[in-house]
Amino acid sequence: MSRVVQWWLAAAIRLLPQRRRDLDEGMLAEAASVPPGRARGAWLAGGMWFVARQVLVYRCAYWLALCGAAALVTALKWVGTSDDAAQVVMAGLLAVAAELGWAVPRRAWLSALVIGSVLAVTAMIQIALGVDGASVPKPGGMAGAGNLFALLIPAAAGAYLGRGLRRSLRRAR
Amino acid sequence: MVFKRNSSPQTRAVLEDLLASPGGWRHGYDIARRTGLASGTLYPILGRLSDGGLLETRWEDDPPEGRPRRHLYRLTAEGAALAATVAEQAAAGRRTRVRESRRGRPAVEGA
Repeated sequence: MSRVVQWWLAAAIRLLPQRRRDLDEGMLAEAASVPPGRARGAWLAGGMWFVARQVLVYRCAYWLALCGAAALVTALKWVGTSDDAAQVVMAGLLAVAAELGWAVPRRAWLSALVIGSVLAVTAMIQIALGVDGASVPKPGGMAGAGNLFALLIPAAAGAYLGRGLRRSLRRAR
Repeated sequence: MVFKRNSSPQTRAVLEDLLASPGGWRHGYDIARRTGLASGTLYPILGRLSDGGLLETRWEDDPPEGRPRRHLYRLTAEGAALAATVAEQAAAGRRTRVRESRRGRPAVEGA
């Protein structure tokens, strides 16, 4: 059992960025010094928790946040029926793009691309599937949905604004 | 600064333990044994201290046959100064509690 856990840990540690690996590999190496049995099991269990959290943070957090942000923008557009729904969607889009640009500056381009195109893509999918809703542009059909790709511009502005703020703050420190 | 006045008792315990052997390199299991912390608690603390420049790390040079190289830790000058402050604060807190309990007052105000 402990060998399986050690193999799992070694594999999971390889998913981490190089600069974070030493601590985890040190923890795994220490397992050899822990008395076999319950103590070693507890040590490895704690190690699994530690490594899993880091893998989540370093490998999955951005993607989960990106999916969440895209879902939020889509939901805002989906439920918005009031006169100022477009402004609300635009504000939400700018806010999430800026937040993602701030959080992961080196992927600002990807954040802008996904957030900026999510409404166009979902509208196109809806039209293709024949699903009606507030998020389908009327009139216009596919061409109208394609026009929503213009949202790439504010999304890029938001993401790069977030990235710029983060970098200038870092430089100021 | 990674350490705040309201840092966890576990972080304080690690700092105080590392201060007990100033300049000496320590390994994770030794720190865990002396502080009673689980690996899942200890290593995030070591990571934060290291990120904050309070801890320096290196790999063991010549491990004995049959045992993997250990990752070693010791306080930096900044870390040692901070750990000394923490230890002093903890000692002052203990003295206050002892004084108050001798006077027959509750150790915790409002208790």
